[in-house]
Amino acid sequence: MSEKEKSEIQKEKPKAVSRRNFLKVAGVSAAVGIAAAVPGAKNALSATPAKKLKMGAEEIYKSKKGVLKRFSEKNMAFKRVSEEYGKPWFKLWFKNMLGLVKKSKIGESVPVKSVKEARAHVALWVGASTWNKLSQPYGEGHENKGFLSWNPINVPPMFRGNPEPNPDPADLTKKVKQMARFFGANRVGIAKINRNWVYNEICRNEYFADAPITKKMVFRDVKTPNETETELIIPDTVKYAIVMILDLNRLATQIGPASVDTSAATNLAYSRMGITDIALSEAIRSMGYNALPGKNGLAMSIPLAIDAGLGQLGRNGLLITPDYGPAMRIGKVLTDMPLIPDKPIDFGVTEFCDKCKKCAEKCPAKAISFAERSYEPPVETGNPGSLKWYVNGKKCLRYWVQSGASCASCQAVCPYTKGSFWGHDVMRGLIKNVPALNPIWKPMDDMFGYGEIRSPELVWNMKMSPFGIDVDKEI
Amino acid sequence: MTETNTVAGATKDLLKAIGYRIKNAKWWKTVLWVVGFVLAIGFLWSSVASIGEYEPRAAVIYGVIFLILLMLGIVAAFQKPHSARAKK
Repeated sequence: MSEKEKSEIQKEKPKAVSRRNFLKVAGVSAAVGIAAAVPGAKNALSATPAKKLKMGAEEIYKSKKGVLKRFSEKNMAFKRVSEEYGKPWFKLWFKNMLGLVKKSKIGESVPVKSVKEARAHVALWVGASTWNKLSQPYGEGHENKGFLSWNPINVPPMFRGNPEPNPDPADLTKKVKQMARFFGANRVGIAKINRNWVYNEICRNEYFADAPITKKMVFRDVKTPNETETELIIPDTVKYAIVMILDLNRLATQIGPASVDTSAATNLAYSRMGITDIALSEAIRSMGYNALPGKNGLAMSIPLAIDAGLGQLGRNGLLITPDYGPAMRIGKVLTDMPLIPDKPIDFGVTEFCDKCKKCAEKCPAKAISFAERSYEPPVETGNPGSLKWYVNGKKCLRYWVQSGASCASCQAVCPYTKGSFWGHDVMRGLIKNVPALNPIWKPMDDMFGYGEIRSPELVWNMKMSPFGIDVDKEI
Repeated sequence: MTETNTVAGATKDLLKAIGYRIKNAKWWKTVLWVVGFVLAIGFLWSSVASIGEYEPRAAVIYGVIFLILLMLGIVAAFQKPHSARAKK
């Protein structure tokens, strides 16, 4: 056969392709095509606001006027349960933890290989909680104390109380958000302060509700925040809260239901919060404005975060964020810097939680309600007057003490607590846009094994990023 | 059989082959193939990602779905030439 004939035959059979080349090209095409398609799909389906809600608590919360009032720190579960035990809950909790270590356990129902192994897990918790302890643990009761001071700590005197004239709120908002991220926040939002969310009194004695050291927290026409024998005074001009999300190590929260590893993950977020809240406060003061760092103290973090457009309230009584679900902690700084508040978001959480109930099913303390939302909390640790799912904070914390570890079962099992894979964004997009499908997601979540309890060994074997955070989500 | 030794040549041949198939196939078959291909890649990706997320059961389920789609694809791809030969 001549060369000419050969080439003509080839022309007549354009569809002939060797299997090897087919696979070569198909693989390359698929990879390129999908890589190009995914960012677009993620944007379309991720948790951008489905409905733009109007700003202001009245629009987001159904609340009973006259019933919803400012909450007292005295009624926080930690203080009320301590009152029941007649001693700080933490002391009992810690005693139980050490007792379990001797039995080679890192939680009531979490055995490990040996005492040596248990000590290593406790060491993880000790390390993770160090900066939390040094920067006023958890914040509540520590308002205006130590590193949570309401006055400048390290700001050059020439900059104190001396802001530049003609501030541009849009520019300041952009800068302050960048700063918060720079200081370690995973997500940042701005809320206009609804004073209902600011505690009406604080309880200086950390874990005793009726200890004599309580102070009223009031707003007054003053230039700088200050403290007297009986009051903590916030300037009337303090109108904005910068709310920051700090991601937890998702896998560590799933070791349990209550384990020392979960405590380590949680405490690390508070330690990081001790940097973000304080650093951001100092930066704001350096620009001449007042800044009040909070951690868990000062004001109720969840409603502020909802106002700041960072998430919605779930059945488990926690903020559900689009990126981290409930597996995160919330820090905040209150300020008089002129800022532009964000808008609350609705990505279908209320409708989803109404059907799912997985957290209530798996809660070992039976502290989460299966019932409809209501205006009445079951115990005084909830603030009455808002239509929501109330959690029995006392039952929850009693279980912590009994377990000798922090429980994060409701965070671990929540179908919103997922990794950074784009497939989860598709699911979240469907939850947001097709609520009719909500009844199928929980059985599917169970079938796929999501949120199941993990082995403590995973802590030593997982791929570890700085702070154990999911770096793929940090875009 | 065309012999091609470069990716560029193979791409050209593949596109020609796909074009030929699309031209001669019924539209719904083409749609089915595209959907099946995308789903198969999606499930394979999900399986690999689930391993990375330490979700073994999810990885197995996604993997099995991928294998089923792959088998269906192979059966469908090899069925046509056989039936075509049978008609001759």
